[in-house]
Amino acid sequence: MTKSKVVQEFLLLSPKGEGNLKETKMASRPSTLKGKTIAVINAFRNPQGSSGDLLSNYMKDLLLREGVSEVLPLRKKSSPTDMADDIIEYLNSKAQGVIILEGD
Amino acid sequence: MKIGANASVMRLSEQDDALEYCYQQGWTDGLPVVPPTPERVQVVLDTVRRKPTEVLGAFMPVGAEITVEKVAINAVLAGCLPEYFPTVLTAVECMADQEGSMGGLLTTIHGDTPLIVINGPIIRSLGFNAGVNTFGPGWRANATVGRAIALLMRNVAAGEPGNFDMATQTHPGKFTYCIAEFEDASPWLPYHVDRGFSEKESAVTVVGAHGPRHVVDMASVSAHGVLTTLSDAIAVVGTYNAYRGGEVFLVLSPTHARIIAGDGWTKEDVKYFIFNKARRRLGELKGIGYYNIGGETYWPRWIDTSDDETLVPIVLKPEDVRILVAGGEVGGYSSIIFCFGMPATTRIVPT
Repeated sequence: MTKSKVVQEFLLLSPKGEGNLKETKMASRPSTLKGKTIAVINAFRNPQGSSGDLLSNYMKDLLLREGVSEVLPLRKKSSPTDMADDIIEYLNSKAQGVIILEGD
Repeated sequence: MKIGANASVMRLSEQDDALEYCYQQGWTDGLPVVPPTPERVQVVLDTVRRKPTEVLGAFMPVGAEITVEKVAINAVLAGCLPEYFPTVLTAVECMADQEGSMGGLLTTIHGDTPLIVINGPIIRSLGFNAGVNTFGPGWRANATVGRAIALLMRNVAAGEPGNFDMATQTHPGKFTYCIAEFEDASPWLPYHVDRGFSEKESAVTVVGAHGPRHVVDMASVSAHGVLTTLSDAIAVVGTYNAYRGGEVFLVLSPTHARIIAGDGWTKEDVKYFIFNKARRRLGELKGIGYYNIGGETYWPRWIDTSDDETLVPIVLKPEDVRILVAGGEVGGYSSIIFCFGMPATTRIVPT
């Protein structure tokens, strides 16, 4: 007669956040950037500082190399505030894509 | 109510090391935790008459709902005794009152974290330390209640550091940050009575806070002397408070509190003194610290920003000075805690 070993199990409850996560619907993405007009918004915490301008210029060069037809550089007044209505209106009428740069 | 109604159930075999499993899942703060078995969580939940699925809030950036059961699981994880649970739950409810502020507090590069302050009879009945070695280790109630909140924030709201929690530097209070007021050593009424509650009630206060800055004054023998030293320590450039106000907690040692009250000063006197004395010349604040960050200054209109000689109050109104008494009975040391991200919120712990 052979002994069968019973492997016991035990349970743990996950402390992680799960379930009922708030869903955010993503806007549709263009299949290509070629020939598009893209806005690049400097939304750095200090938009008057040089870091945001450096990244903004770098992003502009990168996009043009990727075939973007026009880059619209914009600057938010300050990062904690909502985007101004006139900028949103301008984006809606001119841009086919928006890239927001955030940082310190 | 079925345990695990709102939490994934992990099935382990007896060969598995539960503690290592908790590490592998990213559930810990780097220190060992108590594996949250359903039995342990049930014992904790039995201390309150609340449904495990009851939602207390949903803090950004993760945005997952914080249920009573999730709080209980993290309380077990932190090593809380079951009887601490109503206190932990009340602290979470304080944070839920400020749900809109929590996302900023949890994600900022600034590094603040919730400070929990305990008042009332539970200090004694649950064994919170309010005396010697305040802010330090050695007492299970302080250590695990604070840790339960820290783990909950990590596991449910902010995720692992570097993911959403982007603090450039933080302070050790992010492991656990829970103090109690030494009410018997205070010459004044306790803090929660200032907030409109009864001395017979127990209360939890939560506020977004820097680490404590210790201030020594062993020489002063008058209220003016002690508070001049403390005001000087508050009037520093490298804080948000110098540029946009906010609350400051003054954690007075019993020695300093006795000296101040011995001169007949009330807490109101202390608050006005700090408001008037803790100031810096506008010219000293310009161009450094947090000046003009975000493209604007946050000082109120009544501060004359055209004159570099204007004395800018670091605390913009006397009531933003919050006064506690805690620490060992001997020693001319007090602490200043600059607060940011979440205003102080107080709630009664149900008994």
